[in-house]
Amino acid sequence: MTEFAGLAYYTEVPVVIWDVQRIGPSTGLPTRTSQGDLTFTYFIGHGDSNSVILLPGDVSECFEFGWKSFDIAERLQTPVFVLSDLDMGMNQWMSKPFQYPESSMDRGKILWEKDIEEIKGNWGRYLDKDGDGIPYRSLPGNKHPMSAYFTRGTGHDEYARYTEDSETYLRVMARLKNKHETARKYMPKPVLHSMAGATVGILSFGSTENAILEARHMLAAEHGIKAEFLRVRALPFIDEVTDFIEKYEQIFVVEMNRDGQMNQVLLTEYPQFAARFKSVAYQDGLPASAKWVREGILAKYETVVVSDQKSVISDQKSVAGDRKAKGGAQKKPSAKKTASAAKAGSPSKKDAAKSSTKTKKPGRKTAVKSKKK
Amino acid sequence: MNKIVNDFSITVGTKNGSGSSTANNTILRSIFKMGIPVSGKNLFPSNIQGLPTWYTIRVNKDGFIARQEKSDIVIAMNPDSFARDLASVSPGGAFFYADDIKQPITRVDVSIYPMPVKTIVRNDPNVPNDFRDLVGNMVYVGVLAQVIGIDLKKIEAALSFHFKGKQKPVDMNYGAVKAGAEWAKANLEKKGPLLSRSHEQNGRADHDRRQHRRCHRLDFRRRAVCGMVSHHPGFLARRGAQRLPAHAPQTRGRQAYLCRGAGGG
Repeated sequence: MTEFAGLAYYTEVPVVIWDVQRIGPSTGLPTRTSQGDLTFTYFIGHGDSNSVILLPGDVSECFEFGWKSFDIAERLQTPVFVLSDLDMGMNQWMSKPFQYPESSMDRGKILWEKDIEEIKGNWGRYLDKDGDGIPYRSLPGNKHPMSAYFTRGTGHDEYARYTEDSETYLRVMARLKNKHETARKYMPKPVLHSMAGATVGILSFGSTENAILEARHMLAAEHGIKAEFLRVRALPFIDEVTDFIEKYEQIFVVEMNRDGQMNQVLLTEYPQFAARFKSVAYQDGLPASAKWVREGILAKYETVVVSDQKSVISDQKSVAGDRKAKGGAQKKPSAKKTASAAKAGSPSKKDAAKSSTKTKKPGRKTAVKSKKK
Repeated sequence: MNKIVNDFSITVGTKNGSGSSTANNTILRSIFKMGIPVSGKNLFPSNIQGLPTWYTIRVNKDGFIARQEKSDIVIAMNPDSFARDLASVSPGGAFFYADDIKQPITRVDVSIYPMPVKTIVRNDPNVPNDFRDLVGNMVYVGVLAQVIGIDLKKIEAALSFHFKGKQKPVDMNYGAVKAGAEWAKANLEKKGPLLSRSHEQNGRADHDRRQHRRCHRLDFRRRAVCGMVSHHPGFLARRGAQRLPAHAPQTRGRQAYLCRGAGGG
């Protein structure tokens, strides 16, 4: 699969691959559900590659992504993976009636006879005319004599001619990266479950939504923890995901696998927010339950105590920064404050920059973090 | 009286390949047709016929339908998983089992409901011999429906959906459902202290006498009434409120799990 997925990525062949995730190996255990194929799929291919992945959360979205995935694959001319799981694939769910698409199929950038005639047949299969990384193609049935092209899996230039030239390879790979950036425009938006007064975020994907909604209810009712919940529906991430991550100091990443694969992808894509992500990953083959989501979040939840003292965390950064600027003239933070800050995790450079600005304002509210028992 | 309305989990333990899928789907669909949020999940070994299989139904009036790590109601149809199934019932829950399974009942904190599945099917002249095992699963659908209050009309509609309107299989299966429900209505109503009877039938006389008395007092205090009304404001608003029907059957147990719809679906 990896070989062919890599070939489709580099030759820019639209293809849709459905993966109903389950645990393994062999027989027996694969009757149980999982979300364990995320990183495998995201990084699949020959060396540097970026996958487009759709992540349905219920059976109606499975239906919707059934047709949408083909639209996206043809628009981007790249493989699109749809990661469902066995909880959706095998079990009974309530659902609204499936909605058939109202728009016609999107075949992407297609050159027909008149288009090729206008440019006098001068077109390249891997040539980026629009600056979005997506080239043009023709379809079988086009009768123009210049419509044919070579789908080349080996090293090629913009006109699909064989080459091993380094400069050309760099150009092709840069364009493919640019196309991945363009892909963000076509990704379905995440589903946001807001909660008034939320202080933490929960981020997940796929069939865990029901368990998380129930766990969120329990956390608010029984523990006073209010959480906003974002269910991501596609990779690469889009601005709505970034906005959500920027809002909360603690973001619990809930998923059904052993190693916290979505958390790994988030750490890769948002290294500046690494300290915010708290992996709540669990994999026993059974569909997610509210109990393990709640307990997983509680195990990693850190109470935020708001006080009028100077910020422990951001002061540490700003003091360090000032000391560097003024030749070490600033007072060293106390050991107690340093320990608290270390426990809370290191803030990002972006956060530190914000904090440095804020420290100039006297009497501002600050956060001290401690582990909740 | 400790009534738990439209908020519980049902687990059915059967043998893989025993034909319980239709019965389990019928329970799920009939509850759904009553307008109650519900989900169903399979847990089975790979396609190895005869190994234990479980089907879990989550019923929740507030729409929380994720898997629960507990089973309030367990229906045991498989001797091989009987002990495990009995152990899995939540304290205060209900345990239904085919009474041809002769194994000890080791719980005193749950309500026990033996069901004469084979007897009921054998006495039904409309069920051919080679369909008895398959149709027998419908008996537990009927008994469960009677005890927790699933609307029989919704069950018939669910069967009609499942068999795509083919009247013959609908009639045969619905006949077994009705037989199970009628048996439960007649016997579970008349026999009163069901748990005590179950203890005697299953050799429970050896447990501590003081504990035994305490159980019975608890049972009588918590005598429950089953009925079919949605308490969920959304359903009440959409479908119109109803009150418990006067004919609602009585059962006894630590807790009464009730399915209440309002005629919608």
